[in-house]
Amino acid sequence: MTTDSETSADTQDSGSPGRGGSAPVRKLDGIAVAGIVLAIVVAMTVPADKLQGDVQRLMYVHVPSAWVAFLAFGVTAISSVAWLRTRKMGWDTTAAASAFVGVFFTGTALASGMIWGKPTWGVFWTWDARLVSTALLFVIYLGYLALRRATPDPIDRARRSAIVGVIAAFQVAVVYKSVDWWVTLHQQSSRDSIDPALRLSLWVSVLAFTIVYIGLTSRRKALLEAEEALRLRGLRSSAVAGDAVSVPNLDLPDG
Amino acid sequence: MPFLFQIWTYLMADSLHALTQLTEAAQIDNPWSWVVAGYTIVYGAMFGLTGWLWIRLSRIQRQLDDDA
Repeated sequence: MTTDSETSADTQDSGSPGRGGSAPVRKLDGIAVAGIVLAIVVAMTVPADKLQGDVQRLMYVHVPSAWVAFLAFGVTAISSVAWLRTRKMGWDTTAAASAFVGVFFTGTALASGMIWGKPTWGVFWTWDARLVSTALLFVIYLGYLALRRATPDPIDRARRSAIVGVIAAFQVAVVYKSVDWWVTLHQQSSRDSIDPALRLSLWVSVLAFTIVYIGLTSRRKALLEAEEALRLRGLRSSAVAGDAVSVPNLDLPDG
Repeated sequence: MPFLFQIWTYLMADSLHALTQLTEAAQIDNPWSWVVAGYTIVYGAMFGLTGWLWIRLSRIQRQLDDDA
């Protein structure tokens, strides 16, 4: 027999998520909020770009979004390989959670890129290799998430999505190298030529976004596990009801 | 009912037109409008997603606790 407080302590000790996420995730939320506030302050106070002016400040949300999307899909690919090798379901939920967050950040990269494109290029969208390959990346991973929803059996779902998760990762490389392989309106990487003050600000944003990614992925993974636990509980309770309730055999005469 | 739908479509068309005008004006006059729009969308979506995950996880945890 345990009291409420003991049960609560057991739950925390076993590492299962509490309300809205486990204690480490909640701590991470605090760090993420502090990081985001710092990133915004630095991005707004760093000197403006000489050519583009203040519009260039969009770089501090656009580039970190794209970076986190690449990181997320990389984690999905690695977790997918790990599932194929070990068949441990934890790897499957990590891959799924990371892909979900990756799709989200690909969306924010596309949205912020379009907002940056209008004042600098004059258009929200152009059929440029970097833009098209990124849109394709977005659609491919939406397909990955759709595939997971369309497959009810957990083992089948894990196997199919692991294979897609590994193959789809090649699109990340295509997106990254698209500015080198094709002539594009999108600029090439300015990693080496960027001003040190702007680079520092960019790194602060990248770090803050990475912490947010870890927090979101942890929470999404906890949610997937909780949903699975709920589903299994539902199956067990329906089995009990199935045993208790049976159709009466009335032996009615024909006609 | 068709009359209400007609009014609604007129209002939507007007809103979309006004929005286009706003973005065109912002492009010319103020680069900060684009910065604010970008930051609002990205950070707004980020906090929105965090909140949605938080609420959904809390509900399911409560359901699991109640069932137990």
